[in-house]
Amino acid sequence: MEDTLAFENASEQQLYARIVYHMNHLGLFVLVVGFALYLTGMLSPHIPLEDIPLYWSLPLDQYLEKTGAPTGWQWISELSYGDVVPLLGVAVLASVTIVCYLVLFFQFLQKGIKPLVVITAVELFFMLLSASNLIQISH
Amino acid sequence: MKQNSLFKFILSLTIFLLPSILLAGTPAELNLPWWGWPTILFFTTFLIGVFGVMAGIGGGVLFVPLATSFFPFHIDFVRGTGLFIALGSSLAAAPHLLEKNLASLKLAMPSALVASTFAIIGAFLGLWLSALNPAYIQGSLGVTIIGIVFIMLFAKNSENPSVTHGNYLTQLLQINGIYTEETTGKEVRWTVHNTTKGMLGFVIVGLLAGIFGLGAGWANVAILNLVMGAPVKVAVATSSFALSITDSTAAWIYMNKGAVLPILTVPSMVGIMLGAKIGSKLLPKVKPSVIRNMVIGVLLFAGIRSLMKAFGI
Repeated sequence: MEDTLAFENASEQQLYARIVYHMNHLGLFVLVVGFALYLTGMLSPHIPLEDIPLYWSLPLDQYLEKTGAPTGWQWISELSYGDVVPLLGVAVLASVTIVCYLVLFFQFLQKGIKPLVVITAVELFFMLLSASNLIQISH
Repeated sequence: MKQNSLFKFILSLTIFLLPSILLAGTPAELNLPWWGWPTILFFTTFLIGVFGVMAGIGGGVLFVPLATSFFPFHIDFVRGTGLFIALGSSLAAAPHLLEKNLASLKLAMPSALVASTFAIIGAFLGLWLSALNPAYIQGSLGVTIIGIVFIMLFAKNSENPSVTHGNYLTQLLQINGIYTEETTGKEVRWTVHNTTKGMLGFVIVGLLAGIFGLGAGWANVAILNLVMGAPVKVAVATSSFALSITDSTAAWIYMNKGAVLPILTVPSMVGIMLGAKIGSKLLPKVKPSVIRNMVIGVLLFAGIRSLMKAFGI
């Protein structure tokens, strides 16, 4: 096996690590700042903090119906609310892998490594599809 | 010295279980102020972080059954938080593991593709089942957790499996690598086999991640090491890293559906990350098998409790 196979790690691995490192720190910073704005009341929330225990035990559909909390990408237009602004940090953290895969896709494309181009493209498609809120189910 | 350490562990475990034991079955009856439960959640996730790292499992697998069984939060929000806990822990660990070449991008990419595709299906299936009747999710979570306990009890990792022949898929995707074993200073060259069987395993991993909000690291390691023959260090590190890919698809779905409550998600993520940092520092000083057995005990307890809750007991 060792005669026919060159053992090596992907050269893109170190670049991937650096992107994750920086974006993770950025996401955590935005998350904590957003949460501080929420807890200190600097941004008023949809649901007052003292009322939140009335809602967190509700099933999701009832919670959404009673609170009008944002779904999909609505949160972008509601960033002035304290209980929505922490979602910005959550979104940054959920986007880290998408950014990494975009970089990988172009790196593999440039090098002409077709199987890895296909894998990154399909993974990107599924990640963007789930982030887009385009797929829906009915109960 | 040994007794002192043991005492500390027992004390920590008691603290770890205390809120759950004391409040079992009565979360709704307790009249805590709004910050009460998030504060208990923060300390619980902190301890989950400490013990999770020391036991070599992700936080999600401990968090979801404990939070659904012993906290007043609806299972939909617990699963959303569970995914972000797993995602946050994985992102925090990934840079170091990739830089050291312990986690392999080439090994993670195909396995994460399969798992993340099925995580999307799992996420929708979970939300759909929960809308029909939350007891379906609660009950199947209990069964799954008890199943995980048995896997953890009986699956023995193989330190450095001998893989002499990769297969077509392995060669096509160039799944191989090198890392330096720090204890000996020697370079370890590795490749994998049984790639197709391994990928079938990741179908189940993805579904479970999506349905229950579990990180499924416990299953990744078994597939990568026992089925595909990756060295155990590569399997553990790649599993930890791959969760950031698998869980991000399902995490987006929960977020888009409105199932991410910052008052639960943020304290949990911060708690588990701080705990994991402390846990990784304590790791060299503790006997992993002792912690692992403690965690198995907690999981079994949480799994049974989850099952009981599903039957209204």
